[in-house]
Amino acid sequence: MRLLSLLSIAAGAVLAENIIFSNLLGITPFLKESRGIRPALRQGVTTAFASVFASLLSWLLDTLIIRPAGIEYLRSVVFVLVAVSGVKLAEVMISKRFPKLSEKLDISFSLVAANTALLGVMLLASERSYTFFESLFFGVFAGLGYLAVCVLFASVREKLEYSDTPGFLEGLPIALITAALVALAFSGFAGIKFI
Amino acid sequence: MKKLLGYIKQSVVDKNSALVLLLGLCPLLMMSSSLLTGLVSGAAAMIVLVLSGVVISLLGRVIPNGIKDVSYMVITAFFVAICELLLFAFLPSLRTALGIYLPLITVSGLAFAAAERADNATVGAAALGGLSLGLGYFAVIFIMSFIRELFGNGTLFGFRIIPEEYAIRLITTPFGALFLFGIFVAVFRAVALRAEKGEVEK
Repeated sequence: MRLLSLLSIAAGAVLAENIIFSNLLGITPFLKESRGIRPALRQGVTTAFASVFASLLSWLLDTLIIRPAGIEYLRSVVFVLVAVSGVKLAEVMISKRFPKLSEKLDISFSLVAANTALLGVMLLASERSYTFFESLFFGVFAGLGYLAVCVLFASVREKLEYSDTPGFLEGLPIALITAALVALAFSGFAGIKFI
Repeated sequence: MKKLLGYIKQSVVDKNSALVLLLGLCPLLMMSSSLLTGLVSGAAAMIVLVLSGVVISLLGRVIPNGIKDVSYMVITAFFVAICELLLFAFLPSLRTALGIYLPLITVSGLAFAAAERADNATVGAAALGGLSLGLGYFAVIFIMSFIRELFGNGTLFGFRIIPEEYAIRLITTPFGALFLFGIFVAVFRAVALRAEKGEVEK
């Protein structure tokens, strides 16, 4: 029974309630970075890592600080404070310890912190009051879902480059409409449940 | 008066925060599903951007450089939290619709851009910068939510305008939001291009 509920969280996070297509979390970097497979992969992997940490962090903050102190009304402020300073710390640490890696990755603070996926995952996990394992599963699979959709959509957009789009739709508008159609396809998964 | 009109035109048309600069799309698209949520969240975003711009420009010289972006986001988060508490106190029915999306204004590019504009600016300039971003956002979310509620649900502010059988449910889903926004950007670009051409010919 426990396992089934974990499975349904995983399937939901990847397919039926994919954070991009059902909640439109992290849609701006998704549109900007999907111009090629490589940037999309980088964006997806970064967000996937961030999502795992975010989901666990939200569970930790909820059980250790927010609920015992009774400050549910300050939840979003606490989340923003911890998440954003966490991202900043990680950035500083990586650039000090592994300067080569950070140069290669070229991840800027704003790319991760100004990504609504990070805070969105935290708020979703906290709103659904997941247990530890549930938030772990949710974080991992929501991140994987984001990564998969990023790469999928980047390859669609690479094909779009060669197609003959009307002038006024070129670039972003056709990308948005394509994203809408992919979202429509993803809404077909809505019925999947294990319980 | 002319200056005011020019300012409004610049913020709503020329440098629209959503259609041209593509900022804050996640809260914009998700909260435009009905007219009430759209209007309320647009107004909330506008107020938050102005107030946080003012505070950031006042504190800009005090905060050390290394933690600037972090502290700016926390300042914005505080104003969003105030807005959230007030809203849910007076309009508790909006809690489910706005729930997680109102706090997301904090981390969307919108607040980032407002903080950047307020950094090292005078208080007045910071407030105007925030207001300009907010106005653009408000204009787009107003039109989007009007269309989405009218055609998707057949209602306006909950009053039925179009019979239920003729409403296109799909428009209220994320699919409708993305599709409609894509068409918005396309139309906006086409009109801007034509206006530019007209000016050159003159």
